[in-house]
Amino acid sequence: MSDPTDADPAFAGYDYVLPSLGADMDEGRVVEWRVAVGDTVHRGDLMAVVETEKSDIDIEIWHDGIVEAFLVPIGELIEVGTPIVRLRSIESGAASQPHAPTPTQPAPAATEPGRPEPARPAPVRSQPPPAGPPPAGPPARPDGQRVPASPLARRLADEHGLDLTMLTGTGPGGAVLAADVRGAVPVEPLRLESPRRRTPSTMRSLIAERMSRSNREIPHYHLARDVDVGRLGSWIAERNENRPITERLLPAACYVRAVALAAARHSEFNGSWVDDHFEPADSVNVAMAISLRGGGLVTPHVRAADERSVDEIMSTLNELVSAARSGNLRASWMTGSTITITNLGDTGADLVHGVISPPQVALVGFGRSRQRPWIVDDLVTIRPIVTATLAADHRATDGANGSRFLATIANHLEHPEDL
Amino acid sequence: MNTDNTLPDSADHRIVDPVTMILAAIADVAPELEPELAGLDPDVDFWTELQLDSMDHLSVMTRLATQAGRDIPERDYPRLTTINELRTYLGGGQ
Repeated sequence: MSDPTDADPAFAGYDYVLPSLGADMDEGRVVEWRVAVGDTVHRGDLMAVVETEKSDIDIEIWHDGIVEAFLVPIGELIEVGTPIVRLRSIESGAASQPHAPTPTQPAPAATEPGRPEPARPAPVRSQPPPAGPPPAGPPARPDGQRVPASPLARRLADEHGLDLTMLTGTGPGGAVLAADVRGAVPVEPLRLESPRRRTPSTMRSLIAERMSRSNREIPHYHLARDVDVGRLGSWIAERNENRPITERLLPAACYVRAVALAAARHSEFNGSWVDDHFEPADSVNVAMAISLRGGGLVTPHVRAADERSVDEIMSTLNELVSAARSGNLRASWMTGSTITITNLGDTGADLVHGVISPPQVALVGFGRSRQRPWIVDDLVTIRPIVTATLAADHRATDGANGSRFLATIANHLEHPEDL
Repeated sequence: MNTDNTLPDSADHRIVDPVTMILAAIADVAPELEPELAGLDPDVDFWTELQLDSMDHLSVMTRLATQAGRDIPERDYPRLTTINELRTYLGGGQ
């Protein structure tokens, strides 16, 4: 059987796998099909509604084709990478045509060639949850071949639900590189649609599941450090004084920037714990926990925050918060977060002992700013203080690294003019 | 598509009543709070009452500044905590 080796829309067939819609997502369930078997579908059509722990997400089709079969039942909890829909090309005609079972699809269980239905995905509930996201390397192809690709490229392809055989490799011997995968990721292939929130109780149970897993698997350690934000406050006020309201900064943007700079320097806090080892990320994508008024929260990220100014970060935060609260988050904001911030804000508590979002290894928390007695040059004075905390994965780092990481964050916030 | 229809429309028919403008700005930023707005005490600190955070605050103020066609400097924020304070500030007076 021949593999479709290029991205020609006239492919022979394609199994769509459940994509990861965030670094912390490794399972989900199809709650609704938006197509029917036998339908002719086109790139961009809505295919299914997938329920993740935090929201429902519409999945779009990336190729023209005819829906041949649904591969998973509605409502069943399945792992990322599980094939969910089989399409055949419009040109390939009859459904009886032998179908290449897309051997390189990163399915958790390899599909037997020629078998009409793939093996049912492993029942997730009846076994220990996976230690991280799906394995970085897909299982060997049934025909024994493997598309040459870098491990990072495999991971990325896996995350985006892309078939490596569909990509053109630019590496040595035609190996698929990360850049090739990135180039092939459709812009906004998935998106959350207009206000369609999870009911609070569903959101609660899903967060419960997620956070229980984090606490079960990640040996957390927690550190705290008080930061004098007096200079930061004056710096922001001075800056905002001369600016129109649309260009004003909030401390949150400075927090994101400070954490991003610190994470770039202390790269052992920026990445994922997968397969019993830490994988540093190649960019700093700082996720921000945004609470929803109906209950629950979402964590979209500011991509490459270490390379962006505070003003750029502020404008992205505005966009993220308004999208999160109106239910219009884009999947690209949810995928590939490398570290998370939770900012309690000025109506919040003094400090937070956070729960890490797996497979990330660190979460930085900021409590409310409060007036505290503070000693400066041997004199007791009153300063606005914010307690910054770090929840970190002890498998990846120790308290000594964590202390240095927090110190770097504090230092950035205490010298805002360098942010 | 009709995505642009609302903007020119609201600009053409600028809301003149400050209270309506304030309530509309809040409802715009936090649609789920709309049912609560009718019963809002005009003399209560509604930011706290409605649990609006700093990002909401900035969004509401930005909308008001745009609608009213004037800047709202940050130093004025502390005295703009109730509907009545905002109404007076935005020039409604009565």
